[in-house]
Amino acid sequence: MKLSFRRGGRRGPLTKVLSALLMFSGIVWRVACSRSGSTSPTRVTDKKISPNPVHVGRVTISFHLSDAAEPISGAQVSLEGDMTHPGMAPAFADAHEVAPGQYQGSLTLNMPGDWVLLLHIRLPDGRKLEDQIDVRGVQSS
Amino acid sequence: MSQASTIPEPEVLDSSPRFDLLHVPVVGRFLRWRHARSVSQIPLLIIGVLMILHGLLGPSLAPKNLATVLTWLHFRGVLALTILAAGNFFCFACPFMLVRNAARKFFRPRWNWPRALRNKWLSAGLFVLILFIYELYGLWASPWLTAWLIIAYFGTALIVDGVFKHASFCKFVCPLGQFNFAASTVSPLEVAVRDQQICRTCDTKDCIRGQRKPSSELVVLQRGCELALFQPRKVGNMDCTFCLDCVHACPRDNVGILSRMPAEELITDPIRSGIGFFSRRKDLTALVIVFTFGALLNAFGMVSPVYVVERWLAKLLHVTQAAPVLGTIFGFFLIIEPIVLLGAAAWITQKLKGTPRALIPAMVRYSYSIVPLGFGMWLAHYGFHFLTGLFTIVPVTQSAAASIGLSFGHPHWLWVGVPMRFVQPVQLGFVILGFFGSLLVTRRLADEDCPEHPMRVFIPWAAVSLMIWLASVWLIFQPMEMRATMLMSS
Repeated sequence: MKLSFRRGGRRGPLTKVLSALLMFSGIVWRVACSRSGSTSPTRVTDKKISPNPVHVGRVTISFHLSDAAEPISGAQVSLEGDMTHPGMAPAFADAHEVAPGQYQGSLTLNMPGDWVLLLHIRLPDGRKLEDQIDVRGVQSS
Repeated sequence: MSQASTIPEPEVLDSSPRFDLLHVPVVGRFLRWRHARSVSQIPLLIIGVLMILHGLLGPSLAPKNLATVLTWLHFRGVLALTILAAGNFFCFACPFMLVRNAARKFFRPRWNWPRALRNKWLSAGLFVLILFIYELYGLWASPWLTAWLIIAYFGTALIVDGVFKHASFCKFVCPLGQFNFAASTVSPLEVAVRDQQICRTCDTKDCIRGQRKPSSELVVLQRGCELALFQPRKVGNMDCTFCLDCVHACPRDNVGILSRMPAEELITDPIRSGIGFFSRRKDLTALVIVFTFGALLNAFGMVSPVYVVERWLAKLLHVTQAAPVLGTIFGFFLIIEPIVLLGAAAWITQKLKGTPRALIPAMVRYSYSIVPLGFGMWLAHYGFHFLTGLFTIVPVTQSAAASIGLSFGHPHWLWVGVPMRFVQPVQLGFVILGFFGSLLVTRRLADEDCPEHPMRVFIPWAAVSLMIWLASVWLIFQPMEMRATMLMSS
């Protein structure tokens, strides 16, 4: 009688399922973690929000925009406020330059909770930049 | 003598002709089609894959990501409303099972699910775990974590059903399935036999065995019920995934999707195929408690007072981490509060001589009365997010399409949904509906157990429902405060 042997023996269904899942998870993980960060020298700094602590209602956001320590003037900036929970109404407004490289705008936050403020910036040379301010625990007015 | 004639038949409260969804022209024809389930699962699978991809690779901001918007707004809302209006049609179209079925062409499960785990303890525990993780990590605010949750679901379904036979994942593991089972006890439709007389003369039992090839009994042509529900003895929707295998397997075309009085199955207590007696299933009571009190807890996590409680608890426990604080809140809501409320009601019922049952059996017997209230609260909560964020799917889809080079116009981010002031009356309506449902079930249970003095049962258990209902109404009128990170402002 001829006997045949397979190296490692016969794999059970559990091993097969786990192997397949591990492979799938590895691919997904690799893809998910492959995003690279920005290397642009353009910086949004000195981000401030008032009043602090933040309450429901009108808030003022200010920040400084620079490129290699040189202030950037003439950028177009729009502000967007989103709750971290999906399904809530966002808030939009424009920000204006109040000093060279210094921008300021106001948004109305209409609900207590966690907010994320997005700064959509179009630089004078046409490049687009986006930055974010996390505002945790906006309190009732 | 056949088995069919020895087991008492399920009690039918209303013998008038019943509406049958399978007889409705277009819908009925589609559902009777052998591939109806797969065709329904494919779109959900595609959407599921898109959600995973967008969750992992798309924007990290939850309101702009398909994973979070679809999962926490639309999916939950549509699911709850479908169960309210019809039945457990999410399990019918469950994409996890499509993947599982495909995988089973390569992996043949060998083992039966362990006997010790053939109950709802594990799945009720996983239900609690999901609720806990949801609060602890603020899943609604994280597309990445939401995507991994979906992947975990697919993976667990594949592993469990890759190793264990039948629908072990659906019946004993899937927390979402348990939610659907509990909620669909109050649905107006159920998969049931049309005529018990026809089943009495049936000797093939294909609805549970499956249709076999005449020449070889081992070859299954059409699967029977994988959840061990024998149609003639099946009662209601508990454990029924609406897979319609029984409909396709029955050689007499005697299984339909029939109308019934919602919550009817909570009132009667016959022996049920695949389940046994409701009144003897402590694990089902645990599921009911998690389902109902979990509804309150889940809503409580979204209103302002929770943060006051959290800060107070953190101070009391001398901790700064969220997990122990959240664990304490969960312990109170899901263990202490139900034991105190249901235990007190059972004790009072005993003292009033409303039931001859011991304390725990009495708790088990009447705990089913709170299911409609629990479902009412889930509807109020999920309905709120669904309606207030109804149109957000439009700009998010536009944005997602734009990210891969497809243009459906500039995203309309101001498309949100129905204003909150219109949604709150709807929420109130849901919890009122749930309250009356619970009172009705309580009254019927009281009539059945203590026909001479039904008030001895009704009053203590109606008081439980009243307290839960008042808590629900209080929650609805609390200011919303959706915060993903606890203890941040303390």
